Amino acid sequence: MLTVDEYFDTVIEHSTGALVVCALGITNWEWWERTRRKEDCFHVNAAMGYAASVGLGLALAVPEHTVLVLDSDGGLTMNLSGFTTLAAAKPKNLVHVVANNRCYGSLGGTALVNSAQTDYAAAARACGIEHAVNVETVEQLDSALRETFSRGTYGLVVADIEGPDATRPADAPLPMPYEASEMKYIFGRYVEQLTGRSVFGKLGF
Amino acid sequence: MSIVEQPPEAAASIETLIVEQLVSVGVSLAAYLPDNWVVPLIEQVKGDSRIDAVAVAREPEIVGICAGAYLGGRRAVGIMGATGFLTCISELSTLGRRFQLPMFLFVSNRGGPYEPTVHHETQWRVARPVADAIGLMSIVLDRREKLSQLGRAYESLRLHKRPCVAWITKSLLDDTASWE
Repeated sequence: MLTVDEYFDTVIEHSTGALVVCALGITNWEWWERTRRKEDCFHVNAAMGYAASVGLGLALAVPEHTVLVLDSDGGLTMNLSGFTTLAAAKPKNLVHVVANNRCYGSLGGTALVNSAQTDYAAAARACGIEHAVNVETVEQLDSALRETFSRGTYGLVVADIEGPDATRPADAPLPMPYEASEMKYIFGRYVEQLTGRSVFGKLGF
Repeated sequence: MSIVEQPPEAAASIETLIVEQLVSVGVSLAAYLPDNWVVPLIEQVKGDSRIDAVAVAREPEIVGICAGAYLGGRRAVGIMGATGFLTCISELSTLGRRFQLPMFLFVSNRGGPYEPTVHHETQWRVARPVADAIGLMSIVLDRREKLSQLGRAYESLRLHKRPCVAWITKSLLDDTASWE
């Protein structure tokens, strides 16, 4: 099992150059605290279970760029049928990484239904996704991310990580301190700069 | 007996007119989950090489896909039934409304007085009021003539920075119908 530090440090190392879509909750908060990256990361502080859908739409819009979706087991469980959508859509530039801590971390560790038995990678493979792996060590995560980023097909990496640290203050880490519409403009302007595409149009919306 | 030639717009199917309007304003992506009334539109989209069609397992994925496409600068639409629309209220509220993301959704306006199917009657009473309640824009596609303004509507509704529902009504699909 990876520590939270090991998980995020390894993912951050591989994320350079990718457009990141981050699911809400602990994943979002930890990512923000460790990276302070706001331009290249869209924080989906909403629509639990659908970060991968946002990532799919983005990946289809910017096929020349890699999109990294940072998901959580709680969110993924809310839309497991999304694997069938991803299997059918076959985005070539979408890397999907899941932090599997078997609980709702932002609720302090409340158990996630059926977490001891659910095998997300196996579920993805059963839906027709070729590249879906579970990892339990830093070396496995590093190797899996290297392979997934280089494959040129959709890939899923599910990392087994420790639960929330009960000794941390209840208000740490903190969410990104930007209002939703502000995040839209920060991220969209970055995409415009990166890709040359118009996101907001001539009048700015 | 005289033969009156119809203009091309009159001869074209409703679905053709919709797709042509969408393409004219740069729409190139459609995410969908079928309902009987929108199947012809989905088939039209799937058969048009200018639009990439993405099938989903659940309707809220459509909201996510349209959001992601918008943020990537690609113009998209969603297509679904009224039942599916009602499964999207959380995502439309917390993602579409809160992040102020324009998205354009075609939704069937099922369950009216012409449709004696018990599994649609709730949608008729609930779907449009709920859309209003969460602050979505709505346009009612109840006449064929309105379709010629669809491209303009797609453009101008972006300025409201929120999802917009284009309700596909019975009277649009069947011009002998008395109710929308």
